[in-house]
Amino acid sequence: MIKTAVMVILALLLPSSASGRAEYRDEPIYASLAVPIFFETEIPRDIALVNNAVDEITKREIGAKVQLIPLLHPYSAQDPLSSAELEMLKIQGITFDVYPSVLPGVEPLALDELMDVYGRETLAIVGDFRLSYYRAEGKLYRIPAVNDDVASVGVAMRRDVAERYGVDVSAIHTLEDLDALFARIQPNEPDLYMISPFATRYGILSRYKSLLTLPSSFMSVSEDDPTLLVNIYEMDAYREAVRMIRRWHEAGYLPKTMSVQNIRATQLVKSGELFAYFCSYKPGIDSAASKSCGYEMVTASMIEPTITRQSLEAAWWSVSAECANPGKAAQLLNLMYTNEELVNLLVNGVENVHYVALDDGTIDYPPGMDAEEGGYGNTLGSLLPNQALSRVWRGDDPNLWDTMRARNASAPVSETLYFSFSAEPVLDEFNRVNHVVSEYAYGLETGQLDPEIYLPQMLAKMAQAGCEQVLAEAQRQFSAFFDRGNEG
Amino acid sequence: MNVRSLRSRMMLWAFMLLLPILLLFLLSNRIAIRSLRDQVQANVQRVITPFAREIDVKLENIRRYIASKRLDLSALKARRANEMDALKAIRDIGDGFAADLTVYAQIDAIFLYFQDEMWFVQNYNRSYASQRKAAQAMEAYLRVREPSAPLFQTGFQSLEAEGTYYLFLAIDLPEGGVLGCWFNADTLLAPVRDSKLDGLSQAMLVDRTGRWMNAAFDTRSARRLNEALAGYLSVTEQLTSGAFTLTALLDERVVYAPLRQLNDGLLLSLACALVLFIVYIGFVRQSIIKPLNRLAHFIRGIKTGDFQPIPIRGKDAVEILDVYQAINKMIMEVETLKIRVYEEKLAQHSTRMQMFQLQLRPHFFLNALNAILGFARANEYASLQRMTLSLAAHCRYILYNNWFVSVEEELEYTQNFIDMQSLQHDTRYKYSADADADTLERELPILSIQIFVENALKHSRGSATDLTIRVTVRLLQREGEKRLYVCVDDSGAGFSETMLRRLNGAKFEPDAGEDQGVGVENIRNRLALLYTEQALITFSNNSCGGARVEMTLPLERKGTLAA
Repeated sequence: MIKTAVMVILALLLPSSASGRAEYRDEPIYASLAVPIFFETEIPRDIALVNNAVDEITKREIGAKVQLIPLLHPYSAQDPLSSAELEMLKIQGITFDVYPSVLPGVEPLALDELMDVYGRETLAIVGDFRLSYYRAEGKLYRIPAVNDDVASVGVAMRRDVAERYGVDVSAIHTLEDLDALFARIQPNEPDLYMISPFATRYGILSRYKSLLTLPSSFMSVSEDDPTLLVNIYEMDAYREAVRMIRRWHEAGYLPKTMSVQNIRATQLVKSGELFAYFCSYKPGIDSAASKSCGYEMVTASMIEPTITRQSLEAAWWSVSAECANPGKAAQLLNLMYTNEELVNLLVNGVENVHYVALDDGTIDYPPGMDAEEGGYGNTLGSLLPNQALSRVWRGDDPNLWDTMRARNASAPVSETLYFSFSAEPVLDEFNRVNHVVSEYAYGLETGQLDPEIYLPQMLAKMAQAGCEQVLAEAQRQFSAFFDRGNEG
Repeated sequence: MNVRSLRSRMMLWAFMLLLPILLLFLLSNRIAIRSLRDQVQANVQRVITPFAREIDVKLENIRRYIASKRLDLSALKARRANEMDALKAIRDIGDGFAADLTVYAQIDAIFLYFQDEMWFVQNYNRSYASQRKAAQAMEAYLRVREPSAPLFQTGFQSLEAEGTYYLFLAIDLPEGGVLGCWFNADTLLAPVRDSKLDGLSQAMLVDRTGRWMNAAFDTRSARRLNEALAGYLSVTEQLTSGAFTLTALLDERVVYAPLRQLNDGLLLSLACALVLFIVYIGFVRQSIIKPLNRLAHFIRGIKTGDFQPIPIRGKDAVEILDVYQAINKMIMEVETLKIRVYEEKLAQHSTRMQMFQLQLRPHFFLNALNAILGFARANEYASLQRMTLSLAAHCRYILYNNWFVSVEEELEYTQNFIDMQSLQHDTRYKYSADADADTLERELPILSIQIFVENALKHSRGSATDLTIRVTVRLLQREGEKRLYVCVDDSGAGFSETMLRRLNGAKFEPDAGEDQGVGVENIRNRLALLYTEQALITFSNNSCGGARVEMTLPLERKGTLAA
C-alpha cells in the first residue's frame, strides 16, 4: 500500500525587490510562505476566502504571508498544478513517497535547532513517542501530524440501508459477516453496489494488507509463529478472501468499470450507487464519513487496532532544505500545530460563513447550507498538523479529540514497528516480485480475475521472480531484529 | 362641464398645444431607443464574436482529438478468455484518457462505450456524482440511438443530465463501440461570463433543435421561453464547428441604462410640464375664469332682479377689480334709482291724496255751504249770491284745472278765496297782489300761492289787528336764466324761530294735526316733483314782523310730473 504521507512545503519567497515598489515603502513587508493543503474530491470554491483569513492570522502572529496551494489527495500526475505553483514548490519543496514525480530531489531540513527556538509547544504536543519514532540518526527532519496513531480497518455503511434491513453493525467483524449481509440486502437493492475499497483503483484487501505486511512488501508475520515471515499471497486466508471477492464480483456486489479510473468510495456513496466501503476505523469516523458521503454513515470495526509503522507514518510535515527563511517557516509550522483559529480555518473554513458555533460548543452548517453547498470544508483534516485543535461538529462525540488521544495511548504497538526491511541485498528480485504483485493483486482483490486461474499463475510468477530469495533475506534480517530484542 | 365654456376651451387649446409636442417627444425618443438598441446590439455582437471563434477553436481541437484517438480493444473483446489482459487494457485505456485530460482541460470526461458497458474517466476536480449522471445520460442516448446514424459526422450534440447541459462528440470505433467525450456547456462559456460584459446575465448555447441549453429556459413551451426571455437583450452568434448558436442575454435594464436615464429625463420633464400646466390652469382658473364666472353669476342675478353687489377681493387682478367696481357702482346706482322711483311714486301718491284733500276739503266746502245756509236764513241775498258765486268759482278752479295754472288765474283764485273767507268770518283782510305784467301768463303749480295765503289767514285768526296780506310776483334773472319769483308777506305774528328752522330744514315733516305743515309739505313735494331741485322756497319773517314766504320757480319744468 502506498503510504498517505503528506509532504510539507513551506516555501519562503521573500518580496522580490524593494526597487520596483518604492512607493509602497510604508507597507509592512511580510515573508511569503507556500503551504500545500489537501482535499478529498474537489477543491473548495471559497479557498481564496480562507486563504485571506489565514493571511490575516499569519501576518498578525508571525509576520508572514501564506499562499495556500490546494491539491487533491492523493496527488496524481493528472492534477494540473500551475507552473507558478509548481515553481514555488519545486524551488523550496520537499518530496517523499507519492510526490517524487512532482518535486524530485528536494531534501528536508533538519528541524532540531529551529524547533528548539520556535517550536517547543509543537514538540510537546506531538509527544516523545512519535518524535523518537521519527528521529533518524538523532536528527528530526519530519514532524508527524497529531493524528490517530492506530491502524485499523472499518466498513462504513449507509445508515438508512442498514436500518432498513435491521443490521447490527457492532456484530460485523469479518468478510464472512459482510458476505451474509450482502446476500440479504443485494436482492432487494438491485441498483446498489454493496461494497468497494476506499478508492476504485485499490483492492478490497489493501487496507488489511497495509496492516499485515511489512511496509511495501508481500511479506507478513506468520499467524502461527511470530518470528517467521511468510508470503501473504500464499496464505489460505488470502485465497479464501479472494475467492469470496470473486463471488461478490460475479454476484454484482462490486462496482463495475471502475478499474478505468480512481474514484473515492465516498463519491460512489454520494452518487447513490454504493452501500458500503472499507475505511480506517477511528473515533469520529462516522460523522467524517457522513460529511464525505452526503449520507448518514455508520461504521463497523473489522480489526483490532494496533499501532503500526504505516499508521504512524500517515501524515507528517517538514520544511524545505532550500527554504529562504526557515525561521519563518518553522514559526508557521508551530502556528499550525498550536493556533486553534488557524487550524479551524483550514479544516472548517470561516466562522459564520462556512459554519456556525452552537451553544454546546460544537459547530454546524449555517442554516440552509450543507456539505454540498458550503463553500469550504476539508474532510482531510487528519492530514493537517493538528486537527485535534479543530472544533467538533454537531453529532460528534464532544470529547472526540480526548477519545483519540486516549486510544493512541492505550493501543497495542505492533511487534514489527521498529523492524525495517532493507531490500538492498535482493533488490532485483524484490522489485520483480513486487511488479508481479502489482499486476495481479488488484484484479484478484476486486474480483475481476478468477483466483482459480490467476492466483496460482501469480504465485508461480512470484516464484520465478525470486520470491524465495527475498523471503529468505527478510527472514534473516527479521531474526536478527528479534535477536537484538525488537529495538529497530 | 359645458364644452363651450371658457375653461373647456382653454383646456382644449392647451391640450392641443401639448399633444403634438408630446408626440414629437415620444417619437424622437423612440428613434433614439431604436438606434441605441442597434448600437448596443452591434457592440455586444463585436464582443461576442471573438468568444464564438474561441469556442470554435476549442471545439475543433476536441474534434481533432476524438478523430485521431486510437484504441486497441482486442484484449477487451476477448476479456472472457483472458481477464488479465482485459484488465490491463482497461487500466491502460484509463491511464491514456487521464493523460489526455491533462491536455484538454475543458473536457469533463472521456468515455468508451463498449459491449453495452460505459467506461469513463473524469477530469481533475470534477464532481463524480455529476459526471456519473452525465455518463448515464450518455449511455441512455447510445443505447437507443439509430445504429446507422453517423455519430462523428453529426458533430457536437447536446446532452442534458438533470438540468445540466453538456456537449458531446463521439465516434464509432472500427472494432465496435463508441469513443467520445463530453463537457459542461458552461465551462465553454466561462470566458464569455468572465468577460465582464456590461449587463451580461446569461450566456448559453442553443443547439440545432432550437433547445436552449440552460435549465432556466424551457424550450418546450414557447410561452414560457418568451416569459423567461422578457427583459433581456438577446445577441447570438453562430458557431461554425458545431450546429450551435452562442447566445448572450443581457439585462436590458443595465444595457439601456443611458437610455433609461434619457427616458427618465423625458418623463421628468413631461411630469414637470404637466405640473406646470396644472398650475397654469389653476392660475388661470383662479384669476380669470373664477372672477368671470362670479361676474356671470351676478349678472344672471341682476337679470332675475337680485341686485347683490359683487364682493371685492383684494387678490383679484386690477382689471377684474375695475370691472367689479364699475359694475358694483352701476348696481348701486340702479338700486338707488329704483328706490328713488319707488319713493317718488309713493310721494306722488300721497301728494295726490293731499291734493285731493286740499282740493276737495269737505270741511271748507261744508263751511261754505253752512255760510250760504246762514245767508239764506238771514235773507242776506247779496252775501248769499256772492258766496254761491265764490263757491262756484272755487269749485271750478279746483275741479277743472290740473297741475299748472297761470299766475293770473292763481291770483284770481286767491282773491276769490279771500272773499269767501271774508264772507264766512265777516272779517276784512287787506289783501293786495302785485304781479308784473310779464308774469301773468307764466305758469305755476295750482294753489301754490293760495296755500301760503290760507296759512297766513289761519295764523291771524283771533288776532286784534286786521291782517294784511301782500303777494308779489316778479320775473327774476338768476344764474343766467329767468325765474318766477313769488313772495307772500303777511302782517301776522310771523314764524317762531323753531318753526323757521324746521321749515328751512332739508326735510320738513309736519306734526300731527298741523294744518299749516300739511300745506307746506304738500307744496314742497309738488315742487320737487314738478321742478326737481330747481324750485326754491324760503321762509322768513319780514321787517314788519310778519311771515314771509318766498318761492323761486324756473320757467322750464323739469320734474317727473312736468308733463
